Order: sequence, then structure tokens, then C-alpha cells
Amino acid sequence: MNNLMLSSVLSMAGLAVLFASVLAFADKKLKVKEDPRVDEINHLLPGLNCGGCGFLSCHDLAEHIVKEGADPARCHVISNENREKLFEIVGAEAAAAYPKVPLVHCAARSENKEPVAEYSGTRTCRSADLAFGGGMRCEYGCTGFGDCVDACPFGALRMENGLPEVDMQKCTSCGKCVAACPRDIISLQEKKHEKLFYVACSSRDGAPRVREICPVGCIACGICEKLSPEGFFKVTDNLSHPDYSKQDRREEIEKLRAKCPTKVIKEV
Amino acid sequence: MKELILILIAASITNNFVLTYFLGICPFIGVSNKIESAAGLGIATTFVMTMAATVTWLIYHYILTPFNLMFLQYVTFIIVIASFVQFVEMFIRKVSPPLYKALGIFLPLITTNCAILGLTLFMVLRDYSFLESVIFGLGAGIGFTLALVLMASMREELVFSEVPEPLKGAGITLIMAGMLALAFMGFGGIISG
Repeated sequence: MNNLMLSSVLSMAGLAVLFASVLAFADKKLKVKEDPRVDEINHLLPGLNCGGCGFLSCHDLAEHIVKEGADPARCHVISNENREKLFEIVGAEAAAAYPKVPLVHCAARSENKEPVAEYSGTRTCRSADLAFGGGMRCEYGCTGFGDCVDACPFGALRMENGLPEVDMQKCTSCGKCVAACPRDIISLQEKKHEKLFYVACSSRDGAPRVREICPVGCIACGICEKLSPEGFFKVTDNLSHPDYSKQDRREEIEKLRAKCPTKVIKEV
Repeated sequence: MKELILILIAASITNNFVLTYFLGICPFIGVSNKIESAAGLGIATTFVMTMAATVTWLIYHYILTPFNLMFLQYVTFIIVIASFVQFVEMFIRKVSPPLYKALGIFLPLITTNCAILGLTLFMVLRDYSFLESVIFGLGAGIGFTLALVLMASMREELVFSEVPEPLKGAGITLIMAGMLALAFMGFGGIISG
């Protein structure tokens, strides 16, 4: 018995050593010279492989930056210090980078969601969206099953009374939640100033219907557009859209905000 | 000599690993989009199969059998296969980066291609001699390449045909694989006849 154990261990170890040395030798002989910058950039990238940049992995992004001139600013997750180093390697001028913030364009908490039927299907937003919106009347609002929460690799999202809440301490703006939402409720916007104003509604329904089914929706009354000749807001498709490039005049926008009848303009 | 030719034909055509044993279906469906990459993967797999058959035969008969360690055959065979796949991966990366890129994840996945482990186990089961094993490995590899390239050339033509909406993609591919398997069954008479 002992003999059998010994011989099996020895033979396995012998084979392992044999194959390992052959492979080590082959590795030396067949080494592929890579552009050293790829490795350098790869070390600067966070190595989370979150896919927020649109490439398969951090290494893939590094390769694309070096070989195909991909935009080095594509990684949002990278630390500021490493971002500067990265731009130094690439030789590009680092544009001032503003943090991107995920905005949830819906304000309907659980109590505001007008039910149409009881939904007992799979508890994900994607299936609920396919099945007549998961029992709520609004076809544009948050179904509240938290696909975005599941998609977040950093645990920065949680469901709070039917709406996702973002923990900005943990958020890296990777954009996974934006892709996960079947109703395109979440968008990523640069926060250039102290406050970022946005419209917390995605409904393209006309005013009568919105009034009927949701107390916190945008009714496209247009007061925000009328009172701002500078074009802070523009109403198209029954929904008010803020001009994110004109958010430097905080006081004026705050005045407009107070005028909104359904208080659907929010700030982060 | 006649024996060897029979083994070669049986392994590559009548008992084709993919189309009659249904081993190695994953790369068969996954890499059969383009003829070039299909042929590349086929050749890589053929190399691994032949070498694996050769080396595992030697190990089985000169190490495992004398020490009565036949129960270690699975572990041993997997080590051999994995090492060869590693080697092939390095080699392809060096020689043909485009092919390396085209094959992507399927290249390291040759390791877990059940056709190769199946091959080595069949070899033991059927008690082949050394030369027979080598020919068996080569034949299995040729058969795998053949199936892959045939499938790829059919799928390239598929682009120009009107496929019913629900069958697009995987559906029509599996139907075609089934038909190809049926066609290969027609060769069944060669050996027994």
C-alpha cells in the first residue's frame, strides 16, 4: 500500500516537473515581445475588468490605447494620480476630468407607482418590462426590481423604497447600471459644478395621463423652458430635458426649480 | 498496414469524433464562423490530439502499467493535454497573432475539449499498439478538422440565404450540424463492407 502511494506520488511529481520544464523552456524560446507601454498602462489601470470602457478587460483597453489609439480617458474607474501618469505615457494632454454621476430619471417611490395588475413573474426589471411593465401603469418609470443593483460590480447601488440610490463613495461611473436598465432610466453625466440638476422622469406620456398615474412625473407644462430664455431646459416629446452644458448658473436654475409644479427637477 | 489505414479512416470519417460521437461540440459550434479560423483550430487540435495520443500511450504503458497506477490515467491524461495546449498557444501566438486573436478563448479551451480526453481513453479501452495510437490520434484530428471546416464553409454560405427569423443564429447551426452528421453516417458502410 505504502509502495503504491509512493510510486503514484513520485510518478505524478516526475511528470509534472518534466512538463513544467518543457513548458518553461518553450516559454523562453517562444516569448512574444510586447510593446512595453501596454504593460505599463495595464499596471496603471485598476485591474477590475469591469468592462465600463467597452473593452473586454483592462489589458484589452491598454492594448487598444497603445496600438489603435483608443481614447485613454475611457476608463472612468482609474484614480486621478494614475490617470495623469497614463496620459504622460500616451503623450496626450490630460483634459480636466470631471466625475461622472449616474442620474436616475424617475422619482416614483413604491407608494407613487399606480398598479394595474399584480405581477408574479420573475423578479427582474427586464422580465417585468417585457410583461407590461411589471404591474405598474407607467411604461417609462422604474420597475424597482433592481437589475441595476445586481449589475453594479462595486456595490454602490441599493434599492430604497422602489428606487435605486447611488452611493457616490463607491460609484466608479463604470456605466454597468446604465446598460442594465431595460427602460434607460439611468444616465451618466459629468458633474462639472457644485450641483448637477436633472429631470427625474422619463415619461413621454402626455400631461393628462401623467397626472392620472403619477404624482411626481414631468407633465411637460414647459414652465422651466419658458422662464429660461438661456435654454437651461427644453421640452421635447412631453419631457423636459436639461442642457447639462449650461449648469454653471446655479441660482437661476434653483429659481426655476422652485417653479416646477410637480417638483421633478432634482439635484445631486 | 491495412489495419492502420482502417483505423485512420474510421477515426476521421466513419467514427468521426464530432459527428458520430458528438464529442467536442463546443468548438465545433463556436469557431465554425470562418474557414480560416476553423482550419487553424482544426490543425491546432490535430497537433494536440496526435501528440497527446503518442505521449499518453508511452506514459500509460511505460509508467502507469508497470507501477500498477492505472487509476491515475485521468489525471495524467489531463496533464499531458493541458501541457500540449499551453505549448500550442505559445506557438500560435508567436507564429500567427491574427489567428491567435481569431481563436480567442477557444484556444486554451482545447484543454477541456472532451474529444481529446475521449481519444486518449478510447485508445486505452481499445488496447491499441503504439503505432495504432498515433494513427488514431492523427485520424481523429483530421476528422475534427474536416468537420470544422465543412461546417465553417456551410456557415459562410448561410449569410446569403434566407433563414426563418426564429431559427437565426444557433438554431440553424444546430440543424445544419445534425444534417452533416446524417450525411457522415452514409460512410458507415465503408469499413464493414
